[in-house]
Amino acid sequence: MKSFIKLAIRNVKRNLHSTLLNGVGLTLSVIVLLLIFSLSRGIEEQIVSRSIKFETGALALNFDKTTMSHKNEFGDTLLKKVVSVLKSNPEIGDYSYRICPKKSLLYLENNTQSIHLIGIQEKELPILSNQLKILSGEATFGKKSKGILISNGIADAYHLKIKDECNIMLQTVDGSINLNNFSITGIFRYTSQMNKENVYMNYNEAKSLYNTNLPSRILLNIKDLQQTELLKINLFNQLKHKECLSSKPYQCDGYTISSYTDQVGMAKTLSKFNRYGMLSIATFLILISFIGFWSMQLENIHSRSKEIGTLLSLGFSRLSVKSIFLYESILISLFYFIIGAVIALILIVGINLHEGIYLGDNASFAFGSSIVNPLLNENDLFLTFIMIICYPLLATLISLHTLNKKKIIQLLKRN
Amino acid sequence: MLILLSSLSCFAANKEEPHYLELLDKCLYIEYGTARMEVYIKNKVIRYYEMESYRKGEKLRMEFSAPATEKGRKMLSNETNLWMYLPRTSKVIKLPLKQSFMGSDASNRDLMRIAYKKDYTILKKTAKGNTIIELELKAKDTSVSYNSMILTVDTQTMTPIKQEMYSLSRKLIKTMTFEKSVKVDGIYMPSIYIITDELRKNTTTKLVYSQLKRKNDKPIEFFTLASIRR
Repeated sequence: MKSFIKLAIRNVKRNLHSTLLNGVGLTLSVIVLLLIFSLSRGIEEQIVSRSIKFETGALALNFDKTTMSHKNEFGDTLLKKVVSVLKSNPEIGDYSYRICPKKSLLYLENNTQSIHLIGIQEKELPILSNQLKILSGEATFGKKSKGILISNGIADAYHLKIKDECNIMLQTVDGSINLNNFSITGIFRYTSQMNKENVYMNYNEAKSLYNTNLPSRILLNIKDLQQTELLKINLFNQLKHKECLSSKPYQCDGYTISSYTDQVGMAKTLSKFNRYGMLSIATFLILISFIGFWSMQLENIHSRSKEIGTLLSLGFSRLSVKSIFLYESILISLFYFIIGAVIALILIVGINLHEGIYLGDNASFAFGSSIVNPLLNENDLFLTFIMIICYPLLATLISLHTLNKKKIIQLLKRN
Repeated sequence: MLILLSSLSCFAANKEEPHYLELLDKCLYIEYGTARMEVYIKNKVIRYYEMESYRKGEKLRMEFSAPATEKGRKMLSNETNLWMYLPRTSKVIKLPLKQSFMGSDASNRDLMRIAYKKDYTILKKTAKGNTIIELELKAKDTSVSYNSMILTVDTQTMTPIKQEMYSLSRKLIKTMTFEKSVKVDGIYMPSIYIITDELRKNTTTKLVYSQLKRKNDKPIEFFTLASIRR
């Protein structure tokens, strides 16, 4: 075996031209595969992590309108109970309040724009500025907390800029119309159609505008995400009244408990769809590459038929001759896999240092996000390695099949 | 003696004091009318509708006759719901009451619901002249659309002249101006309604009513979902 490997190494060095051609193809395949895997994994991870960190929390307590209304005398008691339960659970890292009225309107001088209004607490502003790139202004609500943050989608559509005034109107938790004046303190870059219409304001201002006694939602961040479902059950058991008659899971007495998996399902589906879509493109490219490699190996074997004939006439078995070619294929695959992997890694690191790839405003329809940060994983690296070893090996094996019926004389006579 | 006098004066005051809100409800209540609605932006008519409206108690039915694209469309509302029948698809859809009425400055609720007495109490009355009084109204419940209103009333005809609608935060949202009072079955009512959205500049909606009647002879079945599908 050692001698066959030595022969294989010598042959690779001697047939540099064809080795190089094959190698370039292999390198490109490695780069393409690794980029595809890392991009699709990155999309999935960042959608989920962004959603968990900022949009949904690992768990969320959602209150219904009737519970939130000032008419509900037990609202304060319920909130105190919830807070004490949250504090008594060491698995819960932090929690924050949100106000999320449905169907709000941004009133401009000559236009109205429907928006998703989100009232957040000041402590969440650093997280917001990490999650969303602030294009102009700052991630603050101003000195009097009368500031709002809008997306560049809305800003560009209505030619809005920092310090512009606008009115926000909504239907309060009881149904009355309420309206107040705000000024734009920051414009963020939206990353999906979902957050294009988001408008962030101070929690207390939103609470006053919505005329509510309770937050719409309490987002909980958990130290260990694996414990989410278990904690959901525990929280529900700790919070529910004995008389809770609701037949719906995790819903009782004016609130519902949901986990991030309930809410990011669509995003995960989208990212998985992307992954399989990209994989199918990669598979198609690998197929093309396989056909190319196969034809080159056929040509390689044909051009070395005298060499093969000589080895056979010297007493080498057909199997051992074939194994030389297979070792050659593995060596080439190995060598160019390493080159391709290094280049791919450099590209991935470079993209991440550059804050990701911006695919355009409408890319979020297909990719769930306009910005993509590739994320490489050892499983993906291993899978790529296996594919890059296997398909040239298979191509070589199929090409070598032509030798089976050839006589030594025929091989030696070939030009 | 003093107690007797004061109670007598109260009685006298109560007897003379009109029930403004009840009278306004009666004033604006008609069971039949044709209307032309025009939506203006920068004093130009950008769209118009012609319709017939029928009312029975809290139920209201509207049938559109113009423009041609809207002909055959029907709306039916009760206190809490609103439906629209679309003749092209033969479907009935549910609409929110707070939504703008056919893209105008008035909401569906503004035009469908007449319930001053039910929804509001009078906080303050201010005389603005010999025959004009200004009423400051406060919603009885936080579920009422406009938390407060200022209503200017002509006490001679007992018709509204102007209605300013305010949000919970005391910001002026809309103004409704009433013009050209006509007598219908012995009670005056305005025949022209002009609605101005105070938040958007240069936009108004004008509703001109004609052929007004206090009563119609439509049966109760006329105000059902099944009947608007026909």
